[in-house]
Amino acid sequence: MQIILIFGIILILGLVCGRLFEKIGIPQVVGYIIIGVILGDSITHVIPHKLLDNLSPLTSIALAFIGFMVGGELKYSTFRKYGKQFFAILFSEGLMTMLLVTTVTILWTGNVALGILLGALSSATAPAATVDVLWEYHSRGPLTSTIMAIVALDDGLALILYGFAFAFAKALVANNALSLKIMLLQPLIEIFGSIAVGVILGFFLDKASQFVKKSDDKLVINTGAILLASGIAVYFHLSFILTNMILGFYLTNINPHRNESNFESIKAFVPPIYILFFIFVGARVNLGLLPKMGMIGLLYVIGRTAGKYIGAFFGAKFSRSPKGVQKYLGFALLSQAGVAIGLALDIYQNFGQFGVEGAQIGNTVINVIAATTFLVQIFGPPLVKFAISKAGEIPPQNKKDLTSGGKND
Amino acid sequence: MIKKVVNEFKPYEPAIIVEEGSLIIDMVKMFIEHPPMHHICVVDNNGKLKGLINRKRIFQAVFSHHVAADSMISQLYTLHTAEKAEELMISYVLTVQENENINDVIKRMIDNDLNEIPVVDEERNMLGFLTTIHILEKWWEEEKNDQV
Repeated sequence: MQIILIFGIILILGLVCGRLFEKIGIPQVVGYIIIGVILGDSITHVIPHKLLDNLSPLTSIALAFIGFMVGGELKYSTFRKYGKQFFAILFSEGLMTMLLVTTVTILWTGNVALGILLGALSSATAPAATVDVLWEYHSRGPLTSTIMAIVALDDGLALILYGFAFAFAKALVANNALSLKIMLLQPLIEIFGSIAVGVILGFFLDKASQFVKKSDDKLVINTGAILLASGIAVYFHLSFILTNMILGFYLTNINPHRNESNFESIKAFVPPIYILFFIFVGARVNLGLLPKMGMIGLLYVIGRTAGKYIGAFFGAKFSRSPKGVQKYLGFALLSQAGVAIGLALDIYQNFGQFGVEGAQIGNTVINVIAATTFLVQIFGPPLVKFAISKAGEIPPQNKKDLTSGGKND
Repeated sequence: MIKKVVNEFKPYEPAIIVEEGSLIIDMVKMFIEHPPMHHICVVDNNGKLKGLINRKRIFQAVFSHHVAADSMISQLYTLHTAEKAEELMISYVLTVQENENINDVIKRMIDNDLNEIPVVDEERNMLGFLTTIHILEKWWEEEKNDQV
């Protein structure tokens, strides 16, 4: 089938399916992945594997946009009021989740690189799916505010952890013979190089933004900067996702209000790219491999759930957050979607070049993340509802929804 | 509109002014009491303009549960948790000064899709709003005189 026709079909199918899923309280991303699985080599072969390989630049561009938008969320001025409290919780839940998922994966598979990569991905949370439930019940209070802050920030933490994990895992898989010193040095060069490129480009983009007033021009200059950042990062073997995250982070913090329109212009432009991207992720899922990965998937979900709960509990306790936050925050941080899936595809695309072990890691990660995303979307939203209800943050007039069956029941 | 400058459009539309610590609930009341006003000006202790809050933003803050959940989460957080003017205001504000050429101002208003723009002095003290109606009124008068 000709490629333009495929693009047209998958965009329209993806949109329809995404909206249908949204109606029943499941994130649109899951709908896109299902369409991808149906159109992929596992079922109908409409999107063959070879085509996916040829389209890898498109998926890299989508990842660059994701990185940029995640960076844009890390606005210090927004979260400074409860900064210490939020950051204590963020690091506690993010690192604890990574630690537990990494540990259980290594204990089960014996594969250190796979463990570190899955651990880094596990710290990400899906903001939209979580906020959907908060909005539905008009929830308001300290737990609600903390949930929103943590889901805004922990995709950023996940990208940073991923930057380290990716570089370290790559060094492990690609350079078995190298010394520990070089294996530690490579990730550091990659991380700090990405930060430097992101900051330098952010500086110039911020200066240029002063003179660009028209929204069309803003879109062009921002897209250009994102592609430039990605190209430079790839050329110097840096992390282009992290580079773009730093670019977004720099812009949103150096001039928060002036640069708000930069993110709005990109946000309005990316939906078709995101739909294609997530459908391509689904198309890469190999249904035949899923039964073999059942145990890793199960361990991943258990480790991630325990890590989120324990980490959030201790972080909240340490920062003296209200009791409701300490007891229930962990229940509300389980949804997983865009960022984890995007990073899984990045691993799949990059580790294929490192022989059989690399390809195996890529396959495992993309299948585990895609399958567990479905699973956590089943029990994630009801647990958010449970948390805000137990913390007493649902106004009385909205409580009837809890017994009469809300959208997410 | 050749050679006209901003101060020829006086009197400007008076501005509602609040301090940074003003509560959102009080600002809602101000909008209700002044239906024609689209903006509230937030000033510091010295009266200098720090930011603007428009009616749409107050509306979104009050009804934050209806703002699309897939919007930028940092913006949702601001709308949902803001209690005071300083937390909700937009601090990147386009302003004009009284000696500026009106044609430059008109271009700026069209480029940025503005119905009104704050007029400030050199110290950034708020003098009032220049609105599209002020400018159209002047233009209409000129047209009428030309026809006569």
